[in-house]
Amino acid sequence: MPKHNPATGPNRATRTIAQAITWLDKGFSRVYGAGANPLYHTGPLAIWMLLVAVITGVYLVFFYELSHPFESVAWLQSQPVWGRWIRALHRYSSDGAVVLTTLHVIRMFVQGRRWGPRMMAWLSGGLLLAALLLVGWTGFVMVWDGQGQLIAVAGARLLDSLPLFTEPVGRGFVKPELIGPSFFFINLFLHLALPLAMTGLLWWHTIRLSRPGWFPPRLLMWWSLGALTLLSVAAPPGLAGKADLLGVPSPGEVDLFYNFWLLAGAVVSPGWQMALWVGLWLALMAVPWLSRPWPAARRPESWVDQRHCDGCLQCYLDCPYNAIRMVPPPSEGVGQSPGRQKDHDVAWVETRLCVSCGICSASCSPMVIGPPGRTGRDQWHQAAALAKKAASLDHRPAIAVILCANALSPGERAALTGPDRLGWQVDCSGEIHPQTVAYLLAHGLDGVLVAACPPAGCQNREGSRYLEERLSGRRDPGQKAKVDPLRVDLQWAESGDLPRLKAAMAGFETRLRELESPSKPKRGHP
Amino acid sequence: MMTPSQPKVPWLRWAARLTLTAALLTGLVWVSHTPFGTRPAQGVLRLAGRMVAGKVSVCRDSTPQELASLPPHQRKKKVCKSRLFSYTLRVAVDGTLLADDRLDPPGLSHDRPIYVQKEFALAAGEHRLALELEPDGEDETGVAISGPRPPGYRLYRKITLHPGRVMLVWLDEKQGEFHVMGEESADTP
Repeated sequence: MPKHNPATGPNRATRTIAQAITWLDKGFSRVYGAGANPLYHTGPLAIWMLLVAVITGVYLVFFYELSHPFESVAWLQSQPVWGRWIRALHRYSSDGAVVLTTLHVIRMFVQGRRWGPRMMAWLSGGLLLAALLLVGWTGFVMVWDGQGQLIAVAGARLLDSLPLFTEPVGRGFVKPELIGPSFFFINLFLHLALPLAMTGLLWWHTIRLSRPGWFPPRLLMWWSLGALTLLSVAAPPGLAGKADLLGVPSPGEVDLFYNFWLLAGAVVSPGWQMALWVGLWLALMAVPWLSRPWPAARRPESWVDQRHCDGCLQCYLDCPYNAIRMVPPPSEGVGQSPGRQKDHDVAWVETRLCVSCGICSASCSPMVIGPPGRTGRDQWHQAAALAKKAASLDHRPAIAVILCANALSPGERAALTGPDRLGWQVDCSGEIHPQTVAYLLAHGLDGVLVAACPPAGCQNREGSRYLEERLSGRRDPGQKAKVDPLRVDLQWAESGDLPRLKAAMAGFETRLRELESPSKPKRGHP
Repeated sequence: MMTPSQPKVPWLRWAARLTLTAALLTGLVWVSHTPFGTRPAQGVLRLAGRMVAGKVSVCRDSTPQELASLPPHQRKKKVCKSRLFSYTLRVAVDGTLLADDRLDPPGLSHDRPIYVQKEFALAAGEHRLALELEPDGEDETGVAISGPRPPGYRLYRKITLHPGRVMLVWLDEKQGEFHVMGEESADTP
């Protein structure tokens, strides 16, 4: 996998997957609403599914007998409400966890959230995925039906292909007398211990986030739980008959979410299978190194001009990645204006944690923090240039269109701008400083339309939400900026939304013309 | 300030939600219960066993160079290593040779037990089985192994394989013979 060349960007396969995800996002947003789009919450939903599996699993384990594993599960299966349905919910929520985790991995990959400060989350995620599949394996073996026997024997063959064991693991499955409670005890221990280990991994996975979203929105939680409960009642999984080590295992059906690896067994030898799966997992773990962009293509981290930091804490509070610390001010003479020793802490960016999202740029009233070229002051200069252009426009109303690079494709961004609509592209809508928008409105622009990702779909977690709060004056420094809400149109946008955005633009222009008419107040703050 | 991109009719939105959720759940159930494998028409002959007999010492004379390189108190005229005998496994069914394998004891010193674990899918029905497990008098390099030769094991008999069933031929080293398990079919009461 080559490193990204800044000239070519991500390769074609990555772009294709990204496009597919964008369309899926859009489709799901239309159905569920952007706020409850499950594709925007794959990580928290996977955790929610695991929690459901843990709660149902704790209940089920009380009925599990190590000396009669199959018989105890069969008894549970014969009890409709408190046996079969709970077991079904345990199974389907576990399946859901695998699906959502896989979608989460793909999503993070195509969004480039896999290297640099996010490497730790990627690596812990890879370990979590492996642990999840192992937990599933032990769970199916616990039942000790045909499927359990099939994967136990096939798994033993994979292990025996490694030159690690002097006594073959598969020897335990040669005849029925060799399998006893001790085997099922070890299996049960792993089935309980691995989820505990996963809790630690989850903590590691989210340690670098300021406000990790452990759970999805409530609507999504209850909707998914209700749907799986209905499914458990309507189509509970059956039992394939007790494992028989003197019979050829033929369960009739398998759960491919966990036991997909059996498919390779029909084609290649256990040794090659092991090489394939271990190789794929190692490749997944190596993604942060293999696919990191060229240094020239990396966006520089934020920095602070500590001489002008007023210590308001807003950037420290806003940073989604815990990358900003408040530190004592530098001593006089070191990065300090002469004779003006500060009596408060100042912001400091821990660059190894900074993903260059630019959200801090918009947090800062004195505009002294942000990635180089994207600070509030840099935006101010760009706004001044736009205002100059707007002054030479004959077309009215004069509109500035601020476009989030993550929300729309380059072609869509180009289609929304033109000679009469002054375009301004930002890396994340969370970096748009409200003072800049106020400046544009005060210097010749009649309106500002912002197209940003829906808050739940923001690639920098909180950028879109902060933008909305700042422009509406509910978050500093938006309260000071006093942006006229009638002259700002904030549109949540995803790729494919061009027709809707064009219609919104037309409606916005009409609204601005009405505001300019003599019968209505020209500007104001209702 | 913002425009939601959802169907404007509430019942249509809920209908779409229900339809999409039902489709996703259908996919979940389908993958969760993917048909896999059919009951095989063949039977399986499984060989299994563990052998630890035949521990011998393989010795050779130390070379003058080796002796010179060691301190006087460590010099031994003979260098000996304990190891187990290798075996040769031959399996023939109805006169057809299915396996003719040399089984070397695992481990760097070849002193770990030999495990036999093999499976052969065969047509259901009656077969003549000839099974021989004989100690091999030579090591991996072809050098003769001196020492008392361990016993070999042989089994010649008719077997009946049932569809989808495993017949286990199990080496009991203590009793020095093969045991056969699973001759009865699954339907046998």
